[in-house]
Amino acid sequence: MEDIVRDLVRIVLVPLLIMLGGFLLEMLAIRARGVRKGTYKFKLWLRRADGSLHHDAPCNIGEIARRVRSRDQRADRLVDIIQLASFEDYTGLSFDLCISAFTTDIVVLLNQRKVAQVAPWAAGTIAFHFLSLVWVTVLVTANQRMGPDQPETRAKRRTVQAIVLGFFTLVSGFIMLWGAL
Amino acid sequence: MMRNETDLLDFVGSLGAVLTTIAAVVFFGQRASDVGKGVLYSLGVVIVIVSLPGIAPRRWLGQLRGHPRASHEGWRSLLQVSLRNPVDPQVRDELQRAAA
Repeated sequence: MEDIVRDLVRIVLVPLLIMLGGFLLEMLAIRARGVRKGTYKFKLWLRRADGSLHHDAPCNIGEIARRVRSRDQRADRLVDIIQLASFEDYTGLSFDLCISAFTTDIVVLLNQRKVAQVAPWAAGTIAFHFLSLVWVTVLVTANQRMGPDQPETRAKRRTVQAIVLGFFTLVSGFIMLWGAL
Repeated sequence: MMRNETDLLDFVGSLGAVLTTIAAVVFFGQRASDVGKGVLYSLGVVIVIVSLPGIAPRRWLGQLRGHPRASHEGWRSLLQVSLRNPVDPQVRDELQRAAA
């Protein structure tokens, strides 16, 4: 029973606390970017005369109102307005989790070098963590390139997917850490 | 163009995540304790379930597509925010007229 509790604390609670700490910092950073001096910032999706889409950020409500008022025919057409601080931005947390997993790998390798024995599966763990980082990057890129006509649910799914993958990476890093030390 | 690019990235990321997770579960499953195995298997199942919509063909997942973000949605959220964050009433009227 004691072993199970110790394992739970080591493999689940410690990574969970790291994730919550990272999430808190991420939340503060995103809020600082999306809300300035009590007013919200927005990302504008604009359509050029040739039909291509591009975005402009951050804009405050005054700038948007000026665009609406000007009704300049030469200006790009306003397609959509999205709040800058949105749930999709939390994909950055998955990066933090993968980096934490890499840190545990390095700690394990450094300690193993001290006792002059390197676990044969350490290379496999690092390769897995690197691959996870690659997939997280791909998912984050997909979210960033999402146009205004894309379903918002998909962006939320990718965010959850990236965070769970990051947490999985961190947990596996801790399994390696406690197994090897 | 942008939509196809996003879908391709979604597909590659989701497929990669699923394959890597399965490999990791097999790899770590042999070395982890019972608690570790339980945690890894649970998280692995969650990752596979969450990744499936990114991999499976669209026609299989018609119901899971969600609602496309219409152009007026942005206006609506802007108006909600502006109502929470009081702005110049003239600006708000202008935006409401534009959104109508």
